[in-house]
Amino acid sequence: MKELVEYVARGLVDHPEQVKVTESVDRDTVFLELRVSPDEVGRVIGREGRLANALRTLLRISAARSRKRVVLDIRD
Amino acid sequence: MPAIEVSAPDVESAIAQGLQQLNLIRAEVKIEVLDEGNRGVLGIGAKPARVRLTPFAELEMQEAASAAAAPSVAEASSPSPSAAEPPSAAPQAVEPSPIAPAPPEAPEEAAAPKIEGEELALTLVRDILRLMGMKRYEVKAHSVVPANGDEEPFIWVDVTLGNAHDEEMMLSHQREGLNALQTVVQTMWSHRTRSSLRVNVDVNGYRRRREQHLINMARRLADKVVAHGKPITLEPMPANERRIVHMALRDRPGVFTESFGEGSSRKVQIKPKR
Repeated sequence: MKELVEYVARGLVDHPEQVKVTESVDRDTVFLELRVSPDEVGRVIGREGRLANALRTLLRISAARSRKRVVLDIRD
Repeated sequence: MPAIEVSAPDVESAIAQGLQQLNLIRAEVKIEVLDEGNRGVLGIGAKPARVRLTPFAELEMQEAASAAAAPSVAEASSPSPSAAEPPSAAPQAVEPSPIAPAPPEAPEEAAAPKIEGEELALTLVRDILRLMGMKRYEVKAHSVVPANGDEEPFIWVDVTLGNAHDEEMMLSHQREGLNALQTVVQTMWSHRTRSSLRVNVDVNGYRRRREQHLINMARRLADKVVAHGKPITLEPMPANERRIVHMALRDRPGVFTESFGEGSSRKVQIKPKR
């Protein structure tokens, strides 16, 4: 889960070294917090949130295997 | 992929068995209930349910065969790849040789040297599937240069998922998973290569079959629009599918196409040209 977010985010920004992802689990829910350089937040969110939503969809599919829910929070 | 008939204790399990045999999802087949069956009372008088499943790809091939007798202008000027192929017949991955062989089932797509970044597209898709925890998958890529000259070359990535659950997850809910993969891969690829070319990702031949289905449907509906002089509105579709409809009817005399509506309810209308 965490690795997927790191991989995608690092591939979208010019400062991959500033990509940080933290993961915490509460019962059936996995909380992921993605931080990128403040001027690159737009890149990982995309126009009208298209990219963030696509990433959430991939996470949801990936988590369905273990019947978990995923919440992805993007911060600068 | 021909039609199959399946028997099972009830209709739902017969459909489920059939879909598994065909390795297709519900949205991809025409379902006919031949016999609803009867569970009987305490097993007495029980009769199995029977269903016939016909892949839409198969129906379209039959339609295309019968339509061949009546050639139309749209037919001749179509920029489409040829047939709806099952995933097993997908083009082979292009080996790292300077000149790639043309995919056999797409004669109008010229033999293309690799687009720079083909390897990158392959790697991105493989990595994402692995990080998503997909079980069994195979990924191939090749470059396509449309022969009609007014379309840009693009990269086509074929994903074959060997696990029915994975396939279902990627293709259900209006292809949400496939579209998400497409968006992520395209954006990462463009960012890395600084190229404006398209990368098309397909899962188990879905886009190939869908494209052929949309083209056939567009032509059929255009005939109706011309015959009745009234516009016809299609179901809402994502941008890439609306584009296929627009392209299929671009050179069709007597009609023109327009999109209207917002976001996920945006749809194409085929209108008579006056």
